Amino acid sequence: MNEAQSAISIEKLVHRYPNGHEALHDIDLEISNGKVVALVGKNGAGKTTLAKHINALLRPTSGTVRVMGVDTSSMTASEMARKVGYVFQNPEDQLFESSVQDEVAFGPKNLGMNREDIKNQVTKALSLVGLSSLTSEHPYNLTYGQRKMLCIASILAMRPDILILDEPNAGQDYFGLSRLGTILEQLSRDDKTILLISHDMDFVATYSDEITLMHGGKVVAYGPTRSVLSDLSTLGLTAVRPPQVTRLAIRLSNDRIRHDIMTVDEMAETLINCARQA
Amino acid sequence: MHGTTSEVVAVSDLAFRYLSRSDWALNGIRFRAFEKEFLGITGPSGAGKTTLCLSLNGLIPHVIEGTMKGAVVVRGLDTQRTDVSQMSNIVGLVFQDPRSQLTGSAMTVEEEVAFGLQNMSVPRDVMRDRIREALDAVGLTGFEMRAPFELSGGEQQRLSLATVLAMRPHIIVLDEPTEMLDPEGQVEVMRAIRFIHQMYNMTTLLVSNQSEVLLENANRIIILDKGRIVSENTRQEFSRKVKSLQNLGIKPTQVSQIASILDASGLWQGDYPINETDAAEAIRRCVLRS
Repeated sequence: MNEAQSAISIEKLVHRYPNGHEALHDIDLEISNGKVVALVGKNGAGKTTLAKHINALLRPTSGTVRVMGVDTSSMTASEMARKVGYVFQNPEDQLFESSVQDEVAFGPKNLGMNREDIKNQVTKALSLVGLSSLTSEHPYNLTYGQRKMLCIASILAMRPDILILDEPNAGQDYFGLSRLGTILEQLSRDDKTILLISHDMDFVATYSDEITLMHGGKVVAYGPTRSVLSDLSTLGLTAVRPPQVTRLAIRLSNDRIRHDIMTVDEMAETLINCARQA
Repeated sequence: MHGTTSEVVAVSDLAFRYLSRSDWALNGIRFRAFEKEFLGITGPSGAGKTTLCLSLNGLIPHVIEGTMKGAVVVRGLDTQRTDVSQMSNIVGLVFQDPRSQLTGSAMTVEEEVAFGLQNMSVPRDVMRDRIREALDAVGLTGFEMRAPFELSGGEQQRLSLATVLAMRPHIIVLDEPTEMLDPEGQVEVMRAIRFIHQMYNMTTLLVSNQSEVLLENANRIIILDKGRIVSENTRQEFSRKVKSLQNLGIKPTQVSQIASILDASGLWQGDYPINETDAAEAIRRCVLRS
C-alpha cells in the first residue's frame, strides 16, 4: 500500500437536511493514512454530520467521499463496516448484548470471521481497552467510562482501517483519559487512521497529529495540531480555547519561549533547558 | 475572618446511606460555608458529590429514601425539621443535565421561569419583574418567547439557572453544571454563575472536576473521596495538590503540573500558580530571570 495514500478524501461535499438546513458547505478534505485527526468546533458546527458521511450513515447531497480510495456511494454496508468503525458518543446507542465478551464478538461474527479469529480479536480488543478481567460481566454493570471503552473494543474487533471516535473523552476520569491516549498511540502504530471528535483541547493537543477546525458547516482551518492550536486569531472565531499550557507559552513568547507548546512535559523540558543554559 | 453570624451552611457529622445499599455514600462530613462565599467541591465519581448537593436542600432525607445521620443546618434551619418546599426557597439546586431541570411542559422560556413562581403563588406583577430580572442575569433577555427545547445546551443551562434564581434563594448549589456542554456553552454558563455570585452576593457551592474552573472561581475548595472530606483548601493549597489530585483521578491544572515538575528539579520558589498569568510571572522570576 502506498504510504502517502489518502485514507479519507472528500471533495466539494455539501449536505442539506430534509428541512432545508445546509449543515455542510462545500467541504474539501484529505486525511492521510495512519494519522490521528481531531475534529474540533462548537456544537452545531457540522462535526458529527461530516463524520457520518465517512461511514455512509449520511449520504452527500452533492460532492464525493472516498474511503481508502473507494467512493462510498458504491460501497455496501458490510464493505463499509470492514473499512470504517464508528464509535458513538452515547454507549447506550451501541450496546445490546448481555456480556462484555458477546458484545465484542458480535461485529466479527457478523463479518463472517472464523472462530479462532473472533476469539483472538475479542481478546486483543478487550486487553487494549483494559476490560480483560470483565469478559463475562453484563455491560450494564460497567461504569459509564467502562461502557465507552467497551464500545471502542467492539468496533476495534472488526479491524477497520479507519476509526471514528465521537467524544470518547466525555465521562472519562484522568485514568480513563490516559488509557484512551494509550489506545490511540497503539492504533496509530498499527497504521489505523483515527478521526477524533472532541471538546477536550488538553487531550487533542497531546494525542492528535492534525486538527480539522469546523465552524458553521465549513472547515476553517486544517493542519498540524501545533499550528492550529497556537493560532488564536482563527480559534477566536470558534470559541475553542487552546490548552492552558499553550496559553502560558503564548504569554512567554516574548521571553524566548516557543509559542506553540502543546503539553506539560514539553513546557517543563523547555524551561529546564532554559534554566541550565542560564 | 468569618464571624458566626455570617455562617450560612453548617454540616456536622453528616452520613447518608441510600435505601438498599450497604455502604455509606457520605460519612463524617463536616464543613461550613459563609455568606457570599464561593465554595468549590471536587472528587472522583462515587465520592458523594451529588449526594452532598441533595442533602443541602432537604431532598435528602425528605424525598430520597435512606438513612441519614448528623445534621445539615442552612441559615439556621435544620433540613430534617424543615419541609422541602421551604428549603428549596433557600437553596437553589442546578443539576448537570439541564433537561432534567426543565419542566418539559413549558412552551416558552418565560413560562419555564414562571412555573416555580406560580407554585409559590407569587403575585402576577411581582412575577413579571422576577422573570425579567432572572433572564437578564443569565443573559437570556430577548429569549422570552423561544421554546426551551430549541435552545443550545448552554442556553438551556442558563435557563435552569434563571428558574432557580427567580425563586430568590440565599444559596445556589451547582452540581457539575458545565459537564455536558461544549466549550462555548461552558464559558457562557460560568460567566452567568460568576455574575450572579457578584451581583447578588449569593453564597455559591460549585461541584466541578475542572481544576481550572475551581481555581478561577472558588475561594476555598473541598476535596471529597469515598464519601469523606479528604481536605479543605485555599486556592494556594489546592494548586499544590498535584499528586493527590492525580491519585484521585482528577486532573490538576497544567500550570500546577508544570510548577510541580520544576519544583522537583529545584527550579520553583514560592506558591504554585493559580492561573497562567501567575505562572508566567513566576517562571520569569524563577526560571528565566528576566
